[in-house]
Amino acid sequence: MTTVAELIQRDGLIVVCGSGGVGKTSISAALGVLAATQTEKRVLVLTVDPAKRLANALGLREFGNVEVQITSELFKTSKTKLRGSLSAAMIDTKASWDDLISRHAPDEATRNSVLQNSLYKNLTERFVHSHDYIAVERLYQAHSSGAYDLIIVDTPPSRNALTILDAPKRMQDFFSSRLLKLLTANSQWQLLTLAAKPFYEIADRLLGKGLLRDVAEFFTLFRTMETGFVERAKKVEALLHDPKTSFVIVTTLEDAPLSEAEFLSVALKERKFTTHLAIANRVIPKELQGEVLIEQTDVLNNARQNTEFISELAGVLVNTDASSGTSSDIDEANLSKLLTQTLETIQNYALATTKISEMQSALLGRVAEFADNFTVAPMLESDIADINGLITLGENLNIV
Amino acid sequence: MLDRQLLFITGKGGVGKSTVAASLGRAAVAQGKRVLLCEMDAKGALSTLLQTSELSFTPREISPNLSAMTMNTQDALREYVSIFLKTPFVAAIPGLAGIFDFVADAAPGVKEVLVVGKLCYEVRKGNYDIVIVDAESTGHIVAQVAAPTTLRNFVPLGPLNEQTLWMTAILEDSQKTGVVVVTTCQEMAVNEALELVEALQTKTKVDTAAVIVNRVPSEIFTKSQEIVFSQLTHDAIKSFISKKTGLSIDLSLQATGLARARRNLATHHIASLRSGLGKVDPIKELLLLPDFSYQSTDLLVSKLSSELEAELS
Repeated sequence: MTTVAELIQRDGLIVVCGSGGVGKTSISAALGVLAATQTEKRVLVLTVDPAKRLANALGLREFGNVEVQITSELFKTSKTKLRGSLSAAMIDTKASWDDLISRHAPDEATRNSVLQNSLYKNLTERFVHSHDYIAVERLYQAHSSGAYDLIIVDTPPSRNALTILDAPKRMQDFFSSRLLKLLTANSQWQLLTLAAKPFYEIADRLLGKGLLRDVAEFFTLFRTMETGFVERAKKVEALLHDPKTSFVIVTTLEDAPLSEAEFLSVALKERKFTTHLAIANRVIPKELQGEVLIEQTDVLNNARQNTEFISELAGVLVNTDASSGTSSDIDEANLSKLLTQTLETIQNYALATTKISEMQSALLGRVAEFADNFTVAPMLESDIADINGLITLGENLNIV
Repeated sequence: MLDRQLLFITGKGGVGKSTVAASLGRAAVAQGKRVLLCEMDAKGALSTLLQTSELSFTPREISPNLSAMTMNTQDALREYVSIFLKTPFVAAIPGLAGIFDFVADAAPGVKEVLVVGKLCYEVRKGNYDIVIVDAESTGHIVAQVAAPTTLRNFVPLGPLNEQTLWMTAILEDSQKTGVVVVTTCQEMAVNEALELVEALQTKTKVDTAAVIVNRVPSEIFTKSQEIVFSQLTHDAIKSFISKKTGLSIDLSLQATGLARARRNLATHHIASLRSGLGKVDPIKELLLLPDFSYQSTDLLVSKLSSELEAELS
């Protein structure tokens, strides 16, 4: 188990996983910014589907499949400066597949046949969880390029985040499967062997003549790339299991994402991956946690029912309004009533905040159970829209 | 929207699709309808929300008029083969399911047609007034509802092709079928919802029945209260209050300020959703559902379903 400070000191990979909508991408970017400002590392953040504002926060007009280095110009309004370097890239499944095919194809003819095959597009989108495979493949590419000391990958939203970790193994299994061999038996008479015949007959009856043949043709082509793909998948798998690879689980303190985080940590353990750190995101800020607000709600309750106090306060408000010189269109006629209402609302929200923070601290107990080490990130007043937002989030994560 | 016979509930992961689907199901039952809820991804979220045991491919009535099932491609294939080809023995051939899983993964639309076909079949059989699908997230739904058409273009002949015709007739009839896009008031979710609505309009002939914004924080202040609140945060006023009451209310102001900021942010994202939807014609329903995220599971569905009932009545 590791703290954020230790995590960003290590070279290697950080795999950030968690349920959809918990803020994985922001956390990944903040960790990247933190690492690149606190250490001299060359850092890359690989992300799946970043919000436009987040891309802008990193000074990018938009993310592309190509790695883009973030300039120190972006940090000119910030106290914190880049010590290392920071790059960001998005994972574009289609482009990455094209790239893979081009690399593994034995010759140009095969490459073109595959890329132009009508089944290919559909396949890259669907089979063997290709998004997940591409994510780890891109990770491997970036890692083996030697251009980065630390790579942070924001995992794709998948049915469950584990498919990404199983992807290399699945790719290997796929090539050795009997089904593939059966389908790609390469001459016409072999299709009519006793074993294959019923399948083809039924397939034609069910799906329409020729569909299966098209599929078989495609996979016959695809199999010519077997060696390249399998070797690569093995290397990718080894990288994931490398002790330098750290796993971070992000969750919010709500039941559903937390259940998924718990499930994830068990499944990671089953696969012999270590969860190095859990991050609870959108937690009520520290100073508002616990029962600190309870006393104030009593005061607010008494104050709003005290007519004498209300009329005095109303007087002060009008005077302050006048003296500040800015006309704020205060509704003087209804001021007492408005004050009472406003104080009541404040009282209610103070109470609600206390309740939420109580629930959150109970749920934080569940995080502590699956992760020896966890840190919290506060609920923010707005979306992260610039580098300073990422710096602040990173600093918050770094507080022990 | 509950007058239709087939509703696909979709949206970005984490926005509360399953919760909305379950709540819509309960709301439809409350309107006196016989409802089938179908979970597409076998994650088990629906059974948890409905507080029932694990669901299977065969629908099970879990409370009066409310049945639920979970989708499974291989079962769907087996059913398809036995119903439409009238050759039940074929399905029994060992290894067949595996082969088809494989081929279905490769050929465009085959898997989706099996799945969508099963849903349309339930509509056609008429055992339920409405089939509500807790569909897969944004990435998949367009391919799914357009699958019969895709497949028809890809395999111009054959029995599967013929089968797709009646499916399309159900799917493309806006009286019968609709997609409900669920989002939260977060930037990413809103963008994804807008992209999805556009994709549904341009790439399919399936109607978007409604956009539902889930977890909308409630309004905190009226305009005039807002002015009073900002006055209260002035240092002079704060010190007056603490002098008079003997206690500073700073933290309460801060807590309210945070809630107010979150609400303003949500309002901002809802506004961009509205203006984005305004560019897509015609806009159907835009429903806002309150934030119940700190409620327990059973309360969550019952609160949301009464909210939906009220909104839809």
